[in-house]
Amino acid sequence: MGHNKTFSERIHDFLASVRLTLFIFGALAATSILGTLIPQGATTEQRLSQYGPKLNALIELLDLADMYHSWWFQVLLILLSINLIICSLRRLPKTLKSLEAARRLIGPTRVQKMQTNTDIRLACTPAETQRVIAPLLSKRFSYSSWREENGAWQAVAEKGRIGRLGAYFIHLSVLLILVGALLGSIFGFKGFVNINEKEAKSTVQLRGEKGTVPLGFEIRCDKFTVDFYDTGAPKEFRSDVSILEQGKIVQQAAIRVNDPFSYKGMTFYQSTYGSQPTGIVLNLTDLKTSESKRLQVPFRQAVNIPGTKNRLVVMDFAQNIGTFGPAFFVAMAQENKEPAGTWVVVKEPDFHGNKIGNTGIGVIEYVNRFYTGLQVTKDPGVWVIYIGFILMLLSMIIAMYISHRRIWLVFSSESKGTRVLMAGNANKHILAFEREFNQLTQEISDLDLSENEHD
Amino acid sequence: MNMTSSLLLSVVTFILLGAALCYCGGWLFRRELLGKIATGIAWMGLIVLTVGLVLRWVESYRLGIGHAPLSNFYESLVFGAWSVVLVYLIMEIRYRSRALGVFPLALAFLAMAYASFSPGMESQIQPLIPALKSNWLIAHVITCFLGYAAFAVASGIGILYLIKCRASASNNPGSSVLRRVPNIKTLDELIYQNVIFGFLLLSVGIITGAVWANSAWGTYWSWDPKETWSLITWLVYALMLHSRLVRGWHGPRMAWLSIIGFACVLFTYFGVNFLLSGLHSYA
Repeated sequence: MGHNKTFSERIHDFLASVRLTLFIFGALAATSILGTLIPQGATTEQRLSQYGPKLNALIELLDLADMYHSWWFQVLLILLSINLIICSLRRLPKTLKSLEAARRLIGPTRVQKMQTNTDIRLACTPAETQRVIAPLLSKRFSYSSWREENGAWQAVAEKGRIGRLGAYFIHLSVLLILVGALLGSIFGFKGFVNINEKEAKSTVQLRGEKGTVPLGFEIRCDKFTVDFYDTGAPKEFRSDVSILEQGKIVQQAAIRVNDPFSYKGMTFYQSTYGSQPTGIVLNLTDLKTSESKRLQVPFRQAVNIPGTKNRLVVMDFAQNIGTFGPAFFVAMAQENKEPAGTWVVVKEPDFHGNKIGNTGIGVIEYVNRFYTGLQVTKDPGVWVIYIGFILMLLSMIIAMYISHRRIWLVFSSESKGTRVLMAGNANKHILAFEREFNQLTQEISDLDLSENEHD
Repeated sequence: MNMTSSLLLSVVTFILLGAALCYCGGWLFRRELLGKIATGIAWMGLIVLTVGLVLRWVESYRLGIGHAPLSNFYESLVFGAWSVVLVYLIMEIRYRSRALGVFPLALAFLAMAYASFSPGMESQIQPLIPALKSNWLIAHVITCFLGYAAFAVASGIGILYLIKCRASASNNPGSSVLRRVPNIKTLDELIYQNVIFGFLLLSVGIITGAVWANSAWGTYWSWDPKETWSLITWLVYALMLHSRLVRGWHGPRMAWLSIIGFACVLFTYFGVNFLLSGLHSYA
């Protein structure tokens, strides 16, 4: 109190204060609300159309569209960790000291001053009283100790010491979870890969267009199946995959939703699926000369139309367009003309839309093949987080429900027997403790009755 | 129709209404008997709700799509009502006070009325979508809803606490109605007890959700609006517990925080579904 604190002491006090904890809790909660209102991961165009340029500039400045990964949100989390560590380290010695002090005997005056206390008179000597009360105490308390001095007895008993440490374990668990998340973000990745049936991939695309990661092996989709309920809702997605190393199958597995597959630290999850046409063969007809030719084209890849300078790309496929059945969206860039596109209906070659300029387009054949969309993650921090989870739940139960209960007894010899002063306290669940205290008082008083009956 | 359970569950709505009214009557008219009747009706409501839920479970197996009745909005409302009544009745046994029954029973009645009679409510048993086919579903939903229920009961006591405080501040403690409410110290303790129970279960709920998400999608946390709102709720209660345990806040502040906390719970449950979009679109 007396001396002025230095600047660094004041900083230390601030970082250790519960006031800061409360502020961080409030700030995390309030800013998280913002993050649920502003769509996370929306594109610049989407944001511009929703918020306009000025608001969007603010959103970009504060990184609000990827808020939970923004620098200032990380700062809040780091501040929380520092606060947690300093605060716990500051309080821990005091707690340990008070646990040590908890086993100290106290004298009659202090016993009588405590809030929960009782005064019982028994018709037997202090030594006899000690003999009958000792088992009562050891039945109810995990620790008890006695001392005799000039015929006067003192005792202390306690249980639930660990209840005082629960909060520290909770703090440790929060730290473990934060550390686990950090490990995951440094040493892990989240990506996805779409694999056509019968094809293999050896790299995965990272989320958020951050490039690709090589797997170090190949994963092949042997078969993709989707089952439906009678209602038409999907029942199960399943990818049968093979892991290939140097072209040889080393492992085979089935991946379902809620049933991932791990290999070499990477885990594959069934995420999406789709189908994609392959082996597309088009029929191109010059409407002026009625000359036509066949052209095999890959999906979503531009090709030159042989013998011309025109380029063509099959951009999209729809299972059912209107009531016309399957259709392809074909775009063509012709010399000296604006690029143009059209939906080409497969089953009706004479459909009026099946042409671009003077080129009639028909689809001769294609095969619709499934592809499976797998989420691929590597997260070495998960185990740290899981340990944190278990520790958090156990220590919450300890911190909330195990109360540190203590009882002090002082016996003094009186002319007609023994005077027993008893007091106690608990650090939580006071009402329940008072019930236990009263029960114990009753038990001790009852001892007296049975002794009297013997007389 | 093979939906005996739906019919049974709509009947519960009226049982719960009856219980709420009897609790209210017993409190206002200071009739011990009415309070006992209220308790009896509330137990009956809980039993019929349990039977309804079990029947619905059995029916889903008969339809060949067997799953626990915890998978859509209708079922979550029913289970929510069940949880609130259960948590309240346990508290009633432990603390022997019937004056606190009005709020939880009225809330359970509203949930059941909404589930059974709201026109847009899909009360049919639907097959599970692949993402929900997991044993974690049961652990996740049960713990979350028991937690929510404890928070609901706490906020009900919080409201009573504030009413009682206001009455004693305006020198009107003689109001016989409020005299039947337990004293302010007990109310404070009851708020705290319910909040720590709720906090523990909400933590279990969030953790089971995270473990499940990790096994289904490969990520234990994706800042989906429902996840984020459950975290916001968790933070509000964490703030409440720290301010009480370390800074010694008691009384009206705790009562207000229990109400704010429950408002967050309600938003996590309803608001996110109706106003925001995300992974939890099914419930």
